[in-house]
Amino acid sequence: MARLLACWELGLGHGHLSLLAPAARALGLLGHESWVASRDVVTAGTLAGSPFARVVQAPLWVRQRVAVPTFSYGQVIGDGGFLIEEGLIELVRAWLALFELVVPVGIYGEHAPASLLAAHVARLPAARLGSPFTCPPAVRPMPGVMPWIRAATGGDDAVADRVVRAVCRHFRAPMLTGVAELLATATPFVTSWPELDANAGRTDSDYYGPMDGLALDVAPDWPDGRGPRIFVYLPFERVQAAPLVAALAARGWPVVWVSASAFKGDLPATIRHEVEPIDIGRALREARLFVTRVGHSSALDALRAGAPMLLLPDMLEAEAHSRQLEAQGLGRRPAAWTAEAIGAALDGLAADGAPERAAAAAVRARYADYVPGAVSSLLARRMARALRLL
Amino acid sequence: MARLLAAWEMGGGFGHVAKLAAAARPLAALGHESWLASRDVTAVKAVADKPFAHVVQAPIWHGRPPVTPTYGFGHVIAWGGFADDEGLSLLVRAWLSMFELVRPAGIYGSHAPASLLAAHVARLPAVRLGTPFICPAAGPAAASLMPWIRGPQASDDAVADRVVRAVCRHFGAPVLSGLGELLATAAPFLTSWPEIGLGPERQDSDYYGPLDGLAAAAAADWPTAKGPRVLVYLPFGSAQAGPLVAALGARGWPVAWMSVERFEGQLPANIRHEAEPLAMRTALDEAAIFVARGGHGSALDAVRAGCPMLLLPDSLETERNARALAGHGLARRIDGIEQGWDAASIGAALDALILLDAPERGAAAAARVRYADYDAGAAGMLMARRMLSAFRLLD
Repeated sequence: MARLLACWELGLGHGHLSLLAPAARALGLLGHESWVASRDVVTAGTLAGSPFARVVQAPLWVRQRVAVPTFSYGQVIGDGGFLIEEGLIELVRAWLALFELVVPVGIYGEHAPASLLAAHVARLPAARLGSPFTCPPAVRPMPGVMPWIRAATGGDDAVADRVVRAVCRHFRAPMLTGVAELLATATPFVTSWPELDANAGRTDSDYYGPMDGLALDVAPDWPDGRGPRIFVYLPFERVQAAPLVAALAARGWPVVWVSASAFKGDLPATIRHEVEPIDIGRALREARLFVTRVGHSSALDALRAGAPMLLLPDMLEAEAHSRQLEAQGLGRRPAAWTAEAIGAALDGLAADGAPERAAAAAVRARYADYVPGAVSSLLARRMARALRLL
Repeated sequence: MARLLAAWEMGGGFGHVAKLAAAARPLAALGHESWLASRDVTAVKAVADKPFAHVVQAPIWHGRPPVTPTYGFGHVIAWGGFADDEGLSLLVRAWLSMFELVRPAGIYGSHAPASLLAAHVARLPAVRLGTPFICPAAGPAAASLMPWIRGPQASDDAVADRVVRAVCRHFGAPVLSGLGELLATAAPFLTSWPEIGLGPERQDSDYYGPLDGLAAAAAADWPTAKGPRVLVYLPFGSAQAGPLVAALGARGWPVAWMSVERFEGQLPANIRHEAEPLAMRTALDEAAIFVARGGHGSALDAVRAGCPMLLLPDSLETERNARALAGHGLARRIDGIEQGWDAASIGAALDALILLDAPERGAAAAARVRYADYDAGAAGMLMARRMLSAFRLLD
């Protein structure tokens, strides 16, 4: 049995662990133990039936980020230290110390770029998995992350490229030219579907889809109410929440709303607040439509369930997903974040003749034969090969 | 040789690592290796002599802080998980994993409350060091952090007490009644002086002073201008910076201003921006006035140098420090947290502080004399020996 280290450095919420967990489960069935170095040890510790033998703290970039526009992946990982070489050297050194303590034979990372660089320094085999945003192809020029504003240029990654080279020099590791070459050191496993990929058609990885995520079995508890069931996954403190509450309250439709934070005010009886994550697949199958910030994992779940989406993105990655889904007719954005505009979008999406309903049903049919267990098993076998375990 | 683990979980900047490094150096001289579990693994680059054998990432709290006023130490460490028993149990578990991997013979922490609780669970000896704010006295009646609002005693730690008990039960550890008993498991080492503490002098620890700090070597490059030299240590992004720039610009005095951030706008020619830390003691020896938020480390340096202070506090800890220093006559404090600061009142305070008969000048000079014989190396060595005694590592 080999010990592997699953790594997560950047991002928030349960989504990153929901991709690492099925890989760990499947690797476990192949006889390999996974520890997880998690950005947030508390979230990792709350996973039901955790597939990880041990949870340890991942080294983190906690300094202020340098304000730069984000047109490329190299700028995205600036939030993880890839803009300041002196800082990244210390971060990589901390990863190396962790490797010495845990003694993994290989690592697999989800949005964990410094761990990849440390693995390169330590000559540890590495794989990376994730969404098209967190697991881009290792090409030059790298795909842009805001193509609707402008394409990325080679210059966008210049700072991150320089920092990667400086870290290699510092640790006397084989020199990498930059971010793309760093990514090329780790086999990619895209845990997504082409519907969410602005660069669909990439050939460096199969699309493994959502697998079985966190495998939660908490059923949604729908409140009494007339009208279509609406499933909402949105923190209450987000600015979209209040107008959405108003729009849903005015309609009186039964709503299950997952948010770790509480709503400031009184929720109508037709909105059931769930603090903990629930069985999202079941909730989506039972819902008429899904209201979302367009996180990657929940959007995949909605595609699989055939649920049309009301899209309320408020971050770069979510904005990219949102544009993808809207372009394919799978979701709709309100004209504004007001109760009236959100209500109009809800009414439109809930109607029998909404084009998004048909498009979502077609995607559901496309993935009707998707078997998460078989896919994660395939991913694990290929990952074990990439990590030289087979 | 024993291996010890230095721990830092909460707070920012370089001060915590500086204090832990000042303990690690004499511990190493006594033959004991220290690893550092750091909130910010990059902060160690500020310590040039590398006193830590390894640096690892400390488990840290990412959850939302509760929305409560901060009247007691329990409220402070709610930001580190002490308001959520399930979450804190998981954080403590991550510390226990680290202990299993690193295998320390004992831990010493600076603002690292979850590591203390984990050490109690693991039956590891522990000590804590730091300022009076982060290293409070143990005991059933915790001191109020805002005595000017709530009186000298606080009874605000009920949530933290409950959480401490729940975590002890969760791990089957001897149940502590609460935060006071948790703090009592770890001997305190105050890296401070009495002038910067509110209330009576502490009896549970000696005052070890500022120790060695970061030992930055850069000298201040004073601009050419007439008038008293003013050393400023204040981020340009803070609300105080704009009116202070205006007040200093109007006077034309030579100013060295330390800030890692840049000023948004045009600085007057009499203000020299220093982006890197300066050799504080030298700069303070050369300055007539020190202007700062009231951070603990730099205020201690000013006390030692006998430099009167103008303090513009903007947080609970700096407010406490400023009140204590003003209470000892060593500083003037301008309260602007709620109303903001203005150039006129800052300028008036500057004008008053440069007067030869300003009472703060006399008090600062007396403090300088009081600490003239302070030997940071000897204080660090004494502290290290006592820490080893607390760890049961002395023969």
